[in-house]
Amino acid sequence: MVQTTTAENTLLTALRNGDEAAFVELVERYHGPLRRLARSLGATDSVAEEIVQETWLGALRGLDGFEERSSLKTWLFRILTYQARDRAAREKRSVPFSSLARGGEAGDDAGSVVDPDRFQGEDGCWPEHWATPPRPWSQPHVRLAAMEAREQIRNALTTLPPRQQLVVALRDADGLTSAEVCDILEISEANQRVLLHRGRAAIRNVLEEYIDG
Amino acid sequence: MNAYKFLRPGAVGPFSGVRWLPGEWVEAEALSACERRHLPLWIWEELWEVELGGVVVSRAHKLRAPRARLGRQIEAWTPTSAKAFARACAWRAALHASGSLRDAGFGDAAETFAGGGDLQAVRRLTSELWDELPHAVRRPIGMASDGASDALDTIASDDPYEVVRGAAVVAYTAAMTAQHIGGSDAHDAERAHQADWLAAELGLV
Amino acid sequence: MADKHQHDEVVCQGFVELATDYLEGALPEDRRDLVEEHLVVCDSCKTYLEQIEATVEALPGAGRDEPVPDDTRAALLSAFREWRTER
Repeated sequence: MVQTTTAENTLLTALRNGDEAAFVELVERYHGPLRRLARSLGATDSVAEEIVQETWLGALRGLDGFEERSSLKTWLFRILTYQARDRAAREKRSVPFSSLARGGEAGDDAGSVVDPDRFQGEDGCWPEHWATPPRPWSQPHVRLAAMEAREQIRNALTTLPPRQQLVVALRDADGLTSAEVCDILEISEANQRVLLHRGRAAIRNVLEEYIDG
Repeated sequence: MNAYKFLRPGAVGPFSGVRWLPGEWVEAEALSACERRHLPLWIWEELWEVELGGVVVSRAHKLRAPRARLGRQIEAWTPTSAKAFARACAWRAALHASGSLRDAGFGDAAETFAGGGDLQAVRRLTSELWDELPHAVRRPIGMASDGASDALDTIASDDPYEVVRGAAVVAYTAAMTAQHIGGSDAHDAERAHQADWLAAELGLV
Repeated sequence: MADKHQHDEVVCQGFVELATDYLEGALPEDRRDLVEEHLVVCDSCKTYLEQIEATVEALPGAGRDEPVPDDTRAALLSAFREWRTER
């Protein structure tokens, strides 16, 4: 069971006590991730802004009933997904994850994460082994912390198919657990893992091109 | 049953990253160890005797137990012995491949491959004969030649990691060459031979 | 001619599909053993795995710090104050 973080606990208590500064801090802390989630769910910039506002209003209205069985962040994300869905329904659109239960978009589960041409074929001495292996990145942590690399990762994330983008953003960028992501998106663990892997592998491919030049 | 464990320098687990302290019991859901027959599969820089506790499960390629502690380090496992192992495995790969050469009418080359002399000769012959070789023969010959190259690189290396990785790769190459020629039975026999080689070299019971 | 598939193993082309399952601890034990056996002999797949891990570690830092737009802030503050009074 995931509990609210310590800092979150403090803010949450203050918020329940009507502390405006706590509210402002929470809004500032989660504005970026919430907007990103709204955008991943198909909203335009301005609509995303509205959805995020509605999320906060919904959170205030529901605050007394928040039992802290999940983290505050997860709870906010969940509210946002409901808001996004409601809005899409009103506008007669569907959100990327509404079709997950029915199998989702084409291309999500198909294809290889690495171009098959990079492996030896049946003609080779070592079929299915690397033909053009990845070159090691020297000091990967340092290199990927650089501004340019972060920009590459950010862009790569936004070009992923929506469901992969959602899972990678929630799991790896926002640090939600597998169970939380499955809960919020209403998908199975196995499905989540496939999307996570495809998304991560696609970003790795982008980074490889960027680093190898 | 005698059990062993290959570890990274400083008695560090190669996949867990956990540092083992000799003599201290470690408990976890699943700790891994080798029986003698598994040794060629898990080669790293250090080799240790390990004592297992609790219910020990013998799996296809390893032992699994909930408790383990390191005993003595097997000092005989050194870069020198790893290089000797690589050389021996490269010759095994060439030996397995030699039958294909003989069957295809390259008797002299087959003798060199089976002869256990200079590994450079295996590489040289492979280059020279490549264009003439029937397609089906290229695969085992190519594999054996790769084994010879990797063994030579391993023997020439000063890097302890490169040496043990090379030894593991050449052992894998010998096993796969055997499998290509003679199927699963040949593969298993080759791995058993490798395990016996290591046990003899290292003075394991 | 003997078939390579007689011997169950994970090699590179298969490994790259399993990397996340491996990192998540989601592989059945037999499969995990085969993956680790492969990583002993394959530097290239080790590199691939490290690159996936590095990508994962770099993702939290890639989020753009979006400032809260002024009108959003104003709207939310006003809503908050209203909520506080009505409680």
